[in-house]
Amino acid sequence: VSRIHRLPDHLINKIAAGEVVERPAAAMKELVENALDAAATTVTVDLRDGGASLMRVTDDGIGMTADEVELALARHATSKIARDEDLDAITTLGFRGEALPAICAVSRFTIQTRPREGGAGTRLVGEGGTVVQRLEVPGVAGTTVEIADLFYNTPARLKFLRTAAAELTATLRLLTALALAHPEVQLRATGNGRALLNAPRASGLRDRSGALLGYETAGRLLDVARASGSTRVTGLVSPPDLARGSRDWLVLVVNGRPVRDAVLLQTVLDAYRPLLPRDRYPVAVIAVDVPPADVDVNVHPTKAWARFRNARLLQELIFTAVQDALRQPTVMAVLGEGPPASASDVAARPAGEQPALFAETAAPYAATSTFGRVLGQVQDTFIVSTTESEVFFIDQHVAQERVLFERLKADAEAAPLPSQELLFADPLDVGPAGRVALERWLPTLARLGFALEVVDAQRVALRAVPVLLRGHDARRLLDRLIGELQPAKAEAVELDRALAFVACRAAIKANVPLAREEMERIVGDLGTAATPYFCPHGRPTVSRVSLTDIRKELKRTW
Amino acid sequence: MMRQYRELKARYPDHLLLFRLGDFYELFLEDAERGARLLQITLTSRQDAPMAGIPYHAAENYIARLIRAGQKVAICEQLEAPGRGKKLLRRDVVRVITPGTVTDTAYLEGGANNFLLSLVRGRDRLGLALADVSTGEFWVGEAGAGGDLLEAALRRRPSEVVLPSALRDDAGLCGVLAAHGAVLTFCDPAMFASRSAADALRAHFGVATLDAFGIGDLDVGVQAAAGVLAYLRETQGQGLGHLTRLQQLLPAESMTIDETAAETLELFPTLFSTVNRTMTPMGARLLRQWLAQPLLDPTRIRARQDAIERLVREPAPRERLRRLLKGIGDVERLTSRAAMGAAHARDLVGLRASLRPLDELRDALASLLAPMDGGPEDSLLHGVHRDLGTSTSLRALLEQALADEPPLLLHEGGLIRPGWDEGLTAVVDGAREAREWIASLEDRERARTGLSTLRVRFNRVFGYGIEVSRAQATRVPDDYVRRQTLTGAERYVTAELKEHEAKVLGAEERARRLEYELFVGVRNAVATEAPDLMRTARAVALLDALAGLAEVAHTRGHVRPLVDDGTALEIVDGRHPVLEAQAARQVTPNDLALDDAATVVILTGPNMSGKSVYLRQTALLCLLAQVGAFLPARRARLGVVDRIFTRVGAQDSLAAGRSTFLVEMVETASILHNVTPRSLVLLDEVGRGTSTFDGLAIAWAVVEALHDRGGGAKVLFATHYHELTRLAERLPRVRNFHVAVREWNDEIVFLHKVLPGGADRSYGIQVARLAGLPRAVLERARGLLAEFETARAGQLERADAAQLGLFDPAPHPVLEELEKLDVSRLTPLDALNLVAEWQRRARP
Repeated sequence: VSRIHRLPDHLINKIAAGEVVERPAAAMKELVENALDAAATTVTVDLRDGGASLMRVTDDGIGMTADEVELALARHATSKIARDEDLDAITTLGFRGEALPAICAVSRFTIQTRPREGGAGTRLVGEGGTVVQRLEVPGVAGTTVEIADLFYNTPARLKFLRTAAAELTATLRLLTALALAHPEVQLRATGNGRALLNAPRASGLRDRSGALLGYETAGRLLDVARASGSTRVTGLVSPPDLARGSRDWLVLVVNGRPVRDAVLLQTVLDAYRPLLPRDRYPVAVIAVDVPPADVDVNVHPTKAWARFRNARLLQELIFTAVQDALRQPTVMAVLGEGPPASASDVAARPAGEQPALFAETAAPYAATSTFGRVLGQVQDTFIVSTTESEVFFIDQHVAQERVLFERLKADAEAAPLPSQELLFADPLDVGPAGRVALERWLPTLARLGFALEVVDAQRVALRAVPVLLRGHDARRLLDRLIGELQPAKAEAVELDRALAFVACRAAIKANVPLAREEMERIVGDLGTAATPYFCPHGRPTVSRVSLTDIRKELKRTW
Repeated sequence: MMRQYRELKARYPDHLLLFRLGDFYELFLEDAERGARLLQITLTSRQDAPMAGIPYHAAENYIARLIRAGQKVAICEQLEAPGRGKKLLRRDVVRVITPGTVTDTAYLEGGANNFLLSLVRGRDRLGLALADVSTGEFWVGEAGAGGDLLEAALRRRPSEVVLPSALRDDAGLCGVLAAHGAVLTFCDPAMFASRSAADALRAHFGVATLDAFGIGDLDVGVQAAAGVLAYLRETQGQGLGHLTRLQQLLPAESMTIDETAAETLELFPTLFSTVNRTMTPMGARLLRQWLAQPLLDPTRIRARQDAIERLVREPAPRERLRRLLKGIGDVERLTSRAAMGAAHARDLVGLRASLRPLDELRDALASLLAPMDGGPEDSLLHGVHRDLGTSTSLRALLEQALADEPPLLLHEGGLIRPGWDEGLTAVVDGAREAREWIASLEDRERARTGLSTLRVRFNRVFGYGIEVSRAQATRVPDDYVRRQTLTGAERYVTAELKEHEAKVLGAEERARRLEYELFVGVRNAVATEAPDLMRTARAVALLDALAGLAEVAHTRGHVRPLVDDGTALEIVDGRHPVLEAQAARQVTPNDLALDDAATVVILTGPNMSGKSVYLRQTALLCLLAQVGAFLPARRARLGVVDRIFTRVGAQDSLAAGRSTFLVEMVETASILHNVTPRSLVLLDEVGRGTSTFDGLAIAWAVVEALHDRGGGAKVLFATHYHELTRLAERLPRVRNFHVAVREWNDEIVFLHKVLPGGADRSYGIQVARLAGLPRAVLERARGLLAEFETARAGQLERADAAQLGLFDPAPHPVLEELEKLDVSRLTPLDALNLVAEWQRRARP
């Protein structure tokens, strides 16, 4: 007897289940994707205990005949692709023919289905991949798959299940993404009998977002649209003041499929810089439509990742599309109750006047153009100033960094920044990677006033630095520069990052006592900065206390 | 005092007289016994008279309980402040509260109306008037011999009925009314006098002729309406300015849903709470009325559908509207209270807050008025837009005049915003100056006299005084007048101090009085605007009800049904609206298609298979469609239904001493008498309450009658007598349907799907097994079933052959023997033995 033998089908399925349905939320996703592929107009998901003890996905899609449903339970059986070429141009969410048999292999399942065009319905009941009941039934067009006791026969997996609450969170995130990817489908979900999500059929992404986020918020989202050839980027992104504390609302949809693509999502975040502080994330739903042949979703059994033929172009498109959206005048934060500026207001704006892109972060402050009168310095780090209604604590370093950044940026866009020749331009060893990075950025760095000369494979000579940075140690400057610029990004960001780097180096440090005039200049400059409230790296510059609050707290009622 | 009590009590014999004695309202004699029982308070006695008291500060709560218990309450106050002497205080009844005239929102359920019904019997007609004094709604009508309209009025569950005292002897009428649980109040017939009635109404509404309301020819109706007005005046005083229009109560305007049907279909609260997404109490009340009275006119139904569709298609504006609606309180009831002079300051503050969102609401609505897709503009939403809004001067007055958070009591000050009224400001300032003068007196007097122990003190009894220690008392100036001697100190006043004290105390009193007067002025201003406010309130209610239904339709994916005058009843993939809304519940969609050619459905299927759900679902969908709501279905087309009849379930009404079967038959009889060609009739297991063959026979005959004489009424008959499926062969418009089930290894699988054709059998034993009946019993039952089925088939064959055999079963063998017996040859003993034998055999 050979020691090596073919595995029986049910075991293969069990093993496949390990990758395809690593958790209940993943099983739910596969079932909902099947429903969407079946052209359903309504999909209902009911869960008990986050899906671990029961999940039921009901759709009103095209359904299956008795023969089809039998086949669907067999491994690698699918209606979605047939030939080699189809794999290169996938237009459905599923295609592997793997999910349903895998899920059924590790659960007790009931499938009831009837083809939309009529004919008999079928009901299959089984467990562990084996059908134990087969009935011809009347029934409704569409398919219902009920999965009970997921992983009941794979104790190892069962042991590693997370809490129902964690599953529910994951499920909701996936469902939200699917709902955003398919606004035309009604999607409803309940958990333990309580409604979790209800997305009625929507006329578009905005209404769909409204159902999930609230229509008021959805009304303020900005349209994103950009195309190049047959590649299109559309979607909605939030103005910066609607940013959130988590990435939950960063959704990328590629050809109708929610995809986790760290690079593209980072591109969205980059487009927001420097409008958002470090730990805030925008609401952004970006739909990418590319020719099916230009994207490969067969990367991982869960199909959550994708590879693009032209990733670079896509990044550029997304970046510019989001930036364009953020440049719209409607970005400006709403002060008080009034509705956001409408299109007609925009038209009325004098043509030459640049829309104040950066004014929007001024949400809480926009009414005061200045930080008022300087009172003094605290801990040699914070400048304290006051207006009639507020007291401000301004981080001197961050504030000056912001001021310098804006000034440098304006200057650098006009002409290269003035530089200071260095007397001793010793070749410095930066390593091959550092050399490559610096080499790529030579033009950018030249505009900032750096003069670099590549000596050999890993050595670079620094011949000049921006005037602002004279006196800094060349060695350390280069190391930091490389560290800062390492992850390559699109051109505009690169310049911003380099500028931020220079501004940060050049700015006054913390723990430096300042003279009154210095403080007044910093505060005055900051007051006229375009984006006074965050440093280029996203750190806030100012903390404020309302005097009204102080009065309240001190019971000063007059 | 007891004489005073008896005099007052004589004027309010039917009321519980709450008699103010100091800090308590006391009940005496029979009132005390009744009140003590209802409120579970201690019964004591005073001079041998039973007495029970409630503390005045908690009275509202107790009164609310009495009203809810259906009592009428008269509140008697002391009309003068208690003096030193033992003189009897003047007292009188200042307020009468009855279940039908309550206006305080504390006693009322926000989402429901509180109706007062008035009835007058004319020669051949019954005059009716129905009013909700808390919302200003007022209807009048006349019922013919059939009493349809009376039933329609009673369906609105009036909490009190006012009748001329002569009707006290009308046992029939009083019986009907009592059965509905309304409190009866018999009044002086003069209140309903025919000669003055029309005059009274004309005067109240300020119209030259009642034809303006289209009720000119309703003589007895007008009498009833005048009775309502007179009764309200008597109990509530003159302020009825918010009763601004009189509508005619017509039975033909709405679908008839009798009490039984309303209960069977669980309209309230189940259906109501399922489709109620309103944000205001007015909206909730309107929706409740809509559900209780679905429309019959397709044009009006379509108008509601148009508005709802608009709101469904534009979710963002809808959300904004609903958010704004949420900030609006019960404008209707608050205005009513103001108009009646009963509103306290918090009511007006609530009204003020409710008026604030109106401008924005109008703006938000404006975006929905433009015609959509080139269609006509929406008439209902336009109406709402037109009617929303009140005079800006009233709103300014409420904003400026009333304090931010006034107290509940009206005589304690704090009602008016400081600085609003010059007169009041002057008084308050005067008081403050005087108080400041007194406050600084101590310093001044100390400086003047040099007495270090000198203090200015205030005391409740003696007022302000200057206190000086005994040791320094000898050195007080001459203008000090000694008032009081304390341990260790003397207390003095000066003329100047007394003068300022009088200023302070007088000013406070004056300020309170002035505030009250100003408040009443504001309240009257509201009363003057009552018609505008009521119009606005109605517009808000309409918008709220429409937006709420749109919300339901949109979030649940409901579709707009086609409602017309046709005879079709076509539902594709219909779902039960209540079950569907229960999260996580799987509802199987089902179809129905009836028209002129197919009017009767015989629905067979085992117990628990969903027959009743299907029946109720059909009725609920018809009802919702005629409310104007969208339906849980893929597609639906319905001709209007004018009445829904139900005979469902087997509820024993043991209390009434009626058996299940009797109740069933009474209801079935009523259906057969009242069915109309546009009726929808639901019959669930009719005939179940008696033996199988009786039941089957009755069921058969009922279906025949409905088919032949129902004139096209739609009938859904659920039964587990499969024998009834044969009716489809005999009657052209009968169709068989069954609820599908499947068997798998002797287990039953419910599919909840309704399909054409009759069920093959009832699966009772399988269902019993699901219920956990012991195995042995099940086995025995299975055996018996086989026997019965063979036997019954034979009997049925015979019955069938005889056409009317069902009604005339084969004679019992005992009867045959009896027939053949030759009595003349029997001995008495033989006869007795035979009788005993027959009796044994006749026993089942």
